[in-house]
Amino acid sequence: MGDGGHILGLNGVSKLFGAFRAVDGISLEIKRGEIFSLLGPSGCGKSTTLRLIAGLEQPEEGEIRLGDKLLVSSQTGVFVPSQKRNMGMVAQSYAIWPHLTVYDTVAYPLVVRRVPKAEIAPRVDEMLRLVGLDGYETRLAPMLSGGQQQRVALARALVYEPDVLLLDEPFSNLDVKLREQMRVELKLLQRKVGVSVILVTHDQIEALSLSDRIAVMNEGRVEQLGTPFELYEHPRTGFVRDFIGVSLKLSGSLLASGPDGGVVELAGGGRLHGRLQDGSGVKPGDPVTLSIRPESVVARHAGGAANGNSIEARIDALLFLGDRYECVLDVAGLEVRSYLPRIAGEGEYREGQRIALSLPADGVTIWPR
Amino acid sequence: MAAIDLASAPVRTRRAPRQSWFGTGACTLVLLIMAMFVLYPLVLLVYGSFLVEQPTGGKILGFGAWISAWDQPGMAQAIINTFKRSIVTEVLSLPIAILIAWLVARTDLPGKRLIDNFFWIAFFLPALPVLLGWILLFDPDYGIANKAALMLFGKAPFDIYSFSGIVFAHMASRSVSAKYIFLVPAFRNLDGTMEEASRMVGCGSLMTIWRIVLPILMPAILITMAISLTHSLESFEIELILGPPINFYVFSTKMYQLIGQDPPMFSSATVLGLAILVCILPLILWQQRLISTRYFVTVTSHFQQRLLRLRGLRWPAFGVIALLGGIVTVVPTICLLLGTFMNLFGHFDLAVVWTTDHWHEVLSDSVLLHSLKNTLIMAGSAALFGVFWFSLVAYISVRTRYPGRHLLDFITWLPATLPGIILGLGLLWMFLTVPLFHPVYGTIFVLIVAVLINAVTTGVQLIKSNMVQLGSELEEASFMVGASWLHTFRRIVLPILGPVLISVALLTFNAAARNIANIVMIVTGDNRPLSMLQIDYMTDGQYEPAAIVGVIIVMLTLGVASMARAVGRRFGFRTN
Repeated sequence: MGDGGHILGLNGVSKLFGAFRAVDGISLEIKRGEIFSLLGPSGCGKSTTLRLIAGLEQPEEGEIRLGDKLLVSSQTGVFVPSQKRNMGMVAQSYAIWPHLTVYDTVAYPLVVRRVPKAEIAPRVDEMLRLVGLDGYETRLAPMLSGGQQQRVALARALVYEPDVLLLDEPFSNLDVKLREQMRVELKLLQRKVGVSVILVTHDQIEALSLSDRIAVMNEGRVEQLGTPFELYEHPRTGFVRDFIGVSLKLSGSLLASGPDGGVVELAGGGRLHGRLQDGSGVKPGDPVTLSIRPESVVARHAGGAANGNSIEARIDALLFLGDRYECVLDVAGLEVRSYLPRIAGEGEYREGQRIALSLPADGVTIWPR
Repeated sequence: MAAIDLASAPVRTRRAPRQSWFGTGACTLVLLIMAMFVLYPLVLLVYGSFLVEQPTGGKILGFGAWISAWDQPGMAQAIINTFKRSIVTEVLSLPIAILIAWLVARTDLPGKRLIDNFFWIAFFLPALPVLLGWILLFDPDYGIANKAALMLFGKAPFDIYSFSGIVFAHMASRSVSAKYIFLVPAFRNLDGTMEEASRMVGCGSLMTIWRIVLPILMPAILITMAISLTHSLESFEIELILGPPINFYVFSTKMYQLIGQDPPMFSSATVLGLAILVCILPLILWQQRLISTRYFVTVTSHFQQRLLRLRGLRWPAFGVIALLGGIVTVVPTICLLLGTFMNLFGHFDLAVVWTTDHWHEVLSDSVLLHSLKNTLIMAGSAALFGVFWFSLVAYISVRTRYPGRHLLDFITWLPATLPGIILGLGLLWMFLTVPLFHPVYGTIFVLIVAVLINAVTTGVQLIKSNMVQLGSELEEASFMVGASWLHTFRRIVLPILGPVLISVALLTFNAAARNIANIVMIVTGDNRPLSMLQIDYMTDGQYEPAAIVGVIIVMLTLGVASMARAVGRRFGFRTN
């Protein structure tokens, strides 16, 4: 995607609530036709950023452009109100109007735009078919289930072919099964319609699975921006590493470092090789944290042939999740939480058991602590 | 009612992103008008109380009025009486109201709808007509109940013209019913699993109420208590009729007496009003603090409501409460109606007891028709204009970033805590001393202003809590799809708020038609509405026409109130 240039640009945008900088100098370029996610914990400013783009809040600093058109500029005082921005939005609560039928709700944006009557009905029908709500036209929208309400909100936001579709935690009010289903439907729908989407979420799975690109936000700033793959495999900060995915972490101190990595003396004894985190600038003697994704770990029952880069651990608690285990490990007196893959053919784990974890050196990263 | 506010969890409201200078100007105009009709009269009252007339004709500032006022007999006693009467009434009615609210909301009591209706009717019945019914029953000389008891037991049990008579009239009127109405939603919204958890660990039913239910609901109970105590303090008409024969005056009737004297003792009445304000100031501050801390029982949509089974007590409990409800509503209303058909009010010992002469007389009297017209114009315009004005104030308070909105909130809240008669006296000062207002004095306009001030707190509060509950997303969704502010207001906001606006209009009409305290100081012969006509008949001792006017007021207010309830029940309060 992204071959059509940029659709939306934010430049140095800040939003203050009193002295609190909810959004702190954010700059972003959203490409035409992509799904772009703002991901972060609650209170990181992602929803406020979305509301700034929507025109529901006004920034104190910076400017926002839609294509070539200036939407907001704190300097010149330009402010295009929401209703003139031609964006679609689905709020977390769906904001379904209680007094209108499904048909009237979806037709509303077209009526507002003075679309000729003869044109409205086919467009609404087409839209309802697209979101799978044909046959529900005469229902009062609040009588629908959560998933159906969300489809109504989507249809209402897409029927006038907006330049950008804004989604604010669209799946958080749905149960797990429905959430997974709607995720797939949304991606299919977006690929079909081709609208640029900005999605706000605190759910990393949602962001990773849906997005073309993600901006991880923390305390009003963009912590890292990249494709889901880049963020997962090459987090640049400890915050991104811990927020996206699960990492097994061990602490120790750096013994030696070279061009292809470093050697770490673990706090509880033992040595491990790893790759130095880019730009971390750790020197031998510094306290460090080792981090590795659980899926890179190879676990074996203890006593097997020792591998060059491995440690021993005791299983303190074991939670069977079906396709893998979640566990609390004791690594030389330190409590470490991780996932363990199931071992084919070797029998399953039990609590209290000692196991050997081999950690491939290219999967281990060394971070300053 | 404030009851709606009690139950609503604080919802985050978003405000419009931008305020144009035109918008700011419009908001300021609203604020100024509110300040002029609520704050300015109070300022005039305070200022006027410190003016001392010099023998030379000029006026200087001084404490003269504050000192000489206490030369009037019974001033301090009136203040003591006010508190004595209120506190006794509150202490007696709160436990009763809590018990009934709990039975209706948390148990499998039969006939809840009937009981609920009884207390709503008791709440909406105007106090004065009902009082006539009680007088017919409990007058020491001719009261039916007293006479019957005299025949059966040789002793008349109850004299309505007494301290306990006054307390009884209050309890039967709004004292219990208003608390019930405030408390039922809070009791209803309590999560049933909390009670169940208590029973699971071994607490009995009574222990659970005492240790779990009451403590959890204590904030709601305290607020109910604070609000109803302030309302109780300002009462007027019951004391006006029952008090003077036994020389019992509360501050409001004392003020009325001082102004009614010849020459009118304006300054003494003002000083008395301000003195009572100083006395209730701690109560007002306490109430404000309770409301602003907002630690109410919050309700999630997942809560479970399970009813306690009363078993053998079911029907006895229903019997007692239904009897109570019937006694405070049906009995006095029937007596009132009977009274209108009696030759001489209360006298069953005449040769000819029954007659329709009074009805013929009153209905053909232009005085009644004139007053009826005044009431309809006053209450009708107050309802129409009130809805418009209250929506405006609520919208500014909830949805804009106007910097003066907190002051606006304060002014809106003030009339609920200040006794109506003091606000009325302030208006009188304003209409008499500000030349701009001279032409409107004596017209219905001044009464409309007075009853609107009386209704503003409830009206704005109702609209506000609905706006807050609806959340701003519904409006924002409309802006996002391209609708203008006006289109959004017309197609989204108004239709959704429609039911509550109708309710507010009807409630305002009801409050206006029954109002006495706020308008008693500024009514002149020409703009006299029905409620004042009834007072005048009663103080004249003409109980039969007074009863007829009372019946008309009851029909008018109850009719409108039941419409309001029907609207409220039909559409309910929509939530997201």
